[in-house]
Amino acid sequence: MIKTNDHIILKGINFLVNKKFFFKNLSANLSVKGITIILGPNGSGKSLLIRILRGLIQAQDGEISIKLNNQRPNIGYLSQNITFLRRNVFRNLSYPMEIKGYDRNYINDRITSLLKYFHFLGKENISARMLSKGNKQYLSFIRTLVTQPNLLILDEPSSNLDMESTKRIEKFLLKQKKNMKIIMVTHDLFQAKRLADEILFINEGKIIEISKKDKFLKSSNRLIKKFLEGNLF
Amino acid sequence: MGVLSDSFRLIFSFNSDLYEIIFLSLKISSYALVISCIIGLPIAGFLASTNITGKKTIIIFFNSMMALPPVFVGLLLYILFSQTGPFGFFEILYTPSIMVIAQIIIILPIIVSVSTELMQHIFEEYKEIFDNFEVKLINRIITTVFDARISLITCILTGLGRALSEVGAIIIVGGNIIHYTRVMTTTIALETSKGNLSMAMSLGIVLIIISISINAIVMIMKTISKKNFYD
Repeated sequence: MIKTNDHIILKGINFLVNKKFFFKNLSANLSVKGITIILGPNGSGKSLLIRILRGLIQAQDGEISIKLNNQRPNIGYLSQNITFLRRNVFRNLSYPMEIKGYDRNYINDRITSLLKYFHFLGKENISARMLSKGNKQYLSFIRTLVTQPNLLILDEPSSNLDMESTKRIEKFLLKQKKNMKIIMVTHDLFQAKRLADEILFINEGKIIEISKKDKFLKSSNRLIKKFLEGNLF
Repeated sequence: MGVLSDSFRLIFSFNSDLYEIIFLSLKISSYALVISCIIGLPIAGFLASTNITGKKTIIIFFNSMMALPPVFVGLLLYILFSQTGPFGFFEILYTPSIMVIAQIIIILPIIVSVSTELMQHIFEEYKEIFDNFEVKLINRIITTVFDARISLITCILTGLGRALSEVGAIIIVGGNIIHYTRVMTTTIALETSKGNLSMAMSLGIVLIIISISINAIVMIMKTISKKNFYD
């Protein structure tokens, strides 16, 4: 269970792009429960924000502190830039567990159950690099789950997926949000409405609002209104 | 045509002297190749996987070493390992051991330089996976080497080809002693100077057959690799 002293905090983040501040003194305190959706127009810094949060990019200044279940979380991160090892589907899924020394039988059981849940059984021996764009993204999502993370950071997990796969992922996220914190970037406002407990809206590197979904959808902020009306890209 | 037919006759008569030379060549070059791979591949894996200070200098060093004249390598080893040299006490001059060392010096830079470049490409591609799953450096190196294996085999076989065709260094340090340090290339040089062209040509043909076989293996492996889309 998530305890009260758990937190996801970004404090005073400065990030320079071409010697200009993209994030200037950016701070945020995210909910430690449920699904936080990060929304914003193109180039607003959504992906950059979660890459910094994941620790893949170092900000020039600032502090990131994440504590879930009173300890450093096990993070599953899905990037937009999908890369697979030169191995088959099964071995791509087993890799994150193998390098952490998981038991072979456990690895087999875990992967089989995930493949079964996500209707991906039968593709274990195909080279992951040979899959279609959609399947690659789907497989990449499955790969983020293999080590049973308690913080899932997703960058547009369903941008290339068909409706059925999108639904399956959304169903999984809604079911699992009791057991794990989910932070997700999406462009799809309808998806945000379906999934979000909390919404962070960012524009041009500035966090405009972080609020509960219902409050966000009724926001009086001019930019948010414009975005919700589909007039801010 | 007489030389050519005599050469083939020599090959298919399974002349013991000829095959002794061929096997010694393969033995020395294989030892050199295995040792170079044991030393070179981890160095290449490390160079490809890290951004240590001086990395570029090390790469430049190995790249420059690729152009090292074999005759100079032979001369250097001769000075170092001759009885009056600093390593003379090893007493390995004119033995197959020093021929292996000479070949290592010649092919190690090829193994390191070419495989570093190959692995660097894969490492950059995998960087996000490694960072995301917090993969330790040793596992990053192992993964990169493993996934670059098909391309690395090409590089390794290039090294073998280079070792087998080398003559300048091993003739100086090996001395071309019959039944002991005489290998294909040194025999070709000797027999040509003696006018025994059939023997020289038969060894040349064997060298070409080995070279074609190596290239065929490389092609087959690349085809299999592409077929499986593991590249």
